Amino acid sequence: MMRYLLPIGVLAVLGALGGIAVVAFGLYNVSASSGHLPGVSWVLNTTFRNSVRLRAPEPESVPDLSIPGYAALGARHYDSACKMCHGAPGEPRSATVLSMVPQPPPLASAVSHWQPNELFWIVRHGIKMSGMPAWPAERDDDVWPVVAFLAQAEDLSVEGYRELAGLPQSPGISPGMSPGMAPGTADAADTGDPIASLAASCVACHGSVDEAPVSPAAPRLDILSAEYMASSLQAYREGRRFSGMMEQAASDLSDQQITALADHFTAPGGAQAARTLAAPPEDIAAIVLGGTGETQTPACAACHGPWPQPLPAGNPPLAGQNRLYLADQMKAFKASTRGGTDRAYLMHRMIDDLDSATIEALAAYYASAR
Amino acid sequence: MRAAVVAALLPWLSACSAPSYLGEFTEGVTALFDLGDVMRPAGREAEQIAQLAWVLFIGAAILWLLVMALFVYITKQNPRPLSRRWAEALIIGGGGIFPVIVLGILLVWTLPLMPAQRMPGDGLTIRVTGKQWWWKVEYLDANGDEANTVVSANEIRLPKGRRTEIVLAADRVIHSFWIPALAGKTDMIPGQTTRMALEPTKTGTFRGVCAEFCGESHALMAFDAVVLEEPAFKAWLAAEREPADAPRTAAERRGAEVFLTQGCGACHAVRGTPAQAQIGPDLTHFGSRLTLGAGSFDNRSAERQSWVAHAAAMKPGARMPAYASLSDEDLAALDRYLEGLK
Repeated sequence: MMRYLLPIGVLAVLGALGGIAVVAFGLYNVSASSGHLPGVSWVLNTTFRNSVRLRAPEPESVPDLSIPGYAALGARHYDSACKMCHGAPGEPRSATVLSMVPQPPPLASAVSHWQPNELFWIVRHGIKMSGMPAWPAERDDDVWPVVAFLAQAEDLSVEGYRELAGLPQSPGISPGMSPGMAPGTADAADTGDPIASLAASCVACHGSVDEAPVSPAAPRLDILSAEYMASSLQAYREGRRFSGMMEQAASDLSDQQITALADHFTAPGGAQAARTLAAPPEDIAAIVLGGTGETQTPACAACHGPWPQPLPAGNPPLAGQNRLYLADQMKAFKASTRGGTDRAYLMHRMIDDLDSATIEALAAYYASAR
Repeated sequence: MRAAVVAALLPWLSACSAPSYLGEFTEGVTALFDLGDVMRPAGREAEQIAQLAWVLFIGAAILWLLVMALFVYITKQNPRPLSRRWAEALIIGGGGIFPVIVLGILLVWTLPLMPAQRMPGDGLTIRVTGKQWWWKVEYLDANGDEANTVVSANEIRLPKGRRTEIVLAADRVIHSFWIPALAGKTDMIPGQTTRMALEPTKTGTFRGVCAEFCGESHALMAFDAVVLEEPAFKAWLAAEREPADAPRTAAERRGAEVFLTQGCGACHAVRGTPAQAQIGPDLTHFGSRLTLGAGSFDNRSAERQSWVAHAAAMKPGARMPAYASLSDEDLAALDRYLEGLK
C-alpha cells in the first residue's frame, strides 16, 4: 500500500502544478478562431442541455401562451433584441455573428428540441460563456410572450415572421425600426422625422389612438399623461422599473427623445376625460373607494380615479387600461418585481394584502371604463 | 422638592392617629416617590384600585415590622427555647389562624370590588379599536344608529361624573387599553369585543397607553384621555359630529388641494370632503387634537410636517408612507390645512 502512496502523491503535485501553470501563464488558447479541442464541444453541449433540463420550471407552470397577440408581442421583442444573433426567416445574419464560438444557432434550430418551459429558462437566465445574455430584468411574466413566439418559430415562413413581428412584407422599407437601434439610420431617413420613426417602434407593440396594442399584455399609451410616460421611460432606462422588453427598448433613449416621445403619444386634449367608470361592483367597492372600515387596502380611487378632483399628471389613470396589463402590474408589485418611478414605493403598501382574485376583479373593473 | 415633602410628612409622623392625615400621607408618598397615575386616581375604578393598594402596602409594612420585631426579640432579647405550649401557639396561631383571619377579611372586602370594577355604563358608549399602532375611537349614537357614529382617533373625551361604557376591539393583534388614572387595563382581542366603563371624578388630561406588546411601535401607541365637565363635553361632541370646516385662507385652500390630490384620501377621511377612507385615523378635527402619531408627538407644525414627510422614521413600522417627494411649499400648505381642521 505504502509503495503506491509516493508515486500517487508525486503525480498529484505535478498535476496541480500543471493546472496552475495553465491558468497562471495563459497556456490554454482561448481564441475563437482555433475552435475547441476534440471532445470539448461535446462536453460543453451535453452539460448545457442537461443543465437546462434540470433547472427548467415544471411544464405545468407554463401559462396560457395562446393569449391574443402574445406571440406577436414576443416576436416584436425578438426582432429588436435577439435577431441580431439568431437571425430571422428571410434575414441573413452578419459575418461577424457567424464568427462567434459557439456560433449562435439560427432561430429554427435554436428552438427545436426544446419545450416551452425549457425555452423560458434559457431566455430568462441566459447561458454562461456562450454569448447568450440573461433577461435584463428580474421578472418572469414578460418573458412568456417571447416563449410564445419561440414555441411557434421552428416552421415559420418569411411571411409568417414578418407578420408576427409587424414588419412590411417586403424587407428593406420597414417603417417600424427596431427599438434598440439608434435613430438616424436608414429608416429615419425615409420619413425625415426621427421621432416619428422612433415612435413607430413604440406603436408596433403599444398601438396608437386608432389601434389597440398588439397584445392586452402591453399597455395602451393614449390614456397616459406625458409626465407619466416620460418618468416611466426614464425609470426603465435607469433600471428602476423592471421589464426585459422595455428596459431594452428604453436603454439608449436620450432625455430629449424621451420628452419628445411622451409628447408624441399624449392624446390631444387628454383622452382620460373621455373615459368614465361605472360604480365599482360591491365586492371591491371598499378597496376602490375606501369607504368602509373592513379593508386594510388604501383606496385606489384617491390616486387613480374615479375621483372628483383632477389628479396629478404623474399618477397613471387606470380607466380603460388593458385588463391583462393591469393584473400583471399588480401581481408584479406584489412580488416586488415591478419597480417603477420614484413614487412606486407607495403601491407596495397598497397591494400586499390583495389576493389574486381581488387583483383580477380590480383589473376587470378599471378595464371596463368606456 | 424631596426635602419639602419630607418636611410636610413630619407632622403626620408625630401624630399618626388622626384618620384625616391618611389622605395627606398617601398623597405625600405618591409625590415623594413619583408613583404615577395609578396612585393618583381620577376615576371611580382607579380610586378603588389605589385604596386597595394602600391598604395592602401599609398592612404589609406593619406585618413586616411586627415579624422583624419578633425576630429581634427571640434572637437578641430573649434567646431561650420556648415552652412547647408557646411554640405551638406561635406556629398554629401565627402561621395558621392569623393569616386565615387576615386573608378572610381581605377576601370579604375585595370580592365585591371585582364586579364594581366591571359595572355597566349609564350614558354614552365609546367603541375603541386597537390598530397597529393607533386607536380608532367611535362615539356611538344613543339610539344605536350606526350612521350617527362620530368617528375620531387617538384621543378620548369623557364627561366627568358619568359612567361611560367602553367597548373594545382589535384589528390584527392583541392590544390592551389602559388609562392608569381612570381604571385598570382591559385587553383588546381580534375577533372579540371586551368592555369596561370609565367614571372620571376629576377633569383634566390623562395619558392612556397600550399595555400589551403589539409590535415594533408598541411603545409609541398612546393617547390622551380628556375629561370635561358634562356641558363642555356635550358641546365638544356636537362640534366633533360636524363635518370639517372649509379651508379659510389661500394657504389652507392650497393644503386642501394637496390633501385631496396626493392620495391622502386613500387612507384618511375628512368628513365633508371626497376623502372618506377608513384605513387610517379620521382627520376631520385633527387640528384640535393634542398629540400626533397616537400620543407620541406634540401636534405642532414642525412635527406635523416631519410626520408627513417621514412617518416611519418617527414611528418605526408605521403604515403611513413617507411623502418626502412633496415640495416644501406643498408640505407647509398641507400643514396649514391640517392645523385648521379644528
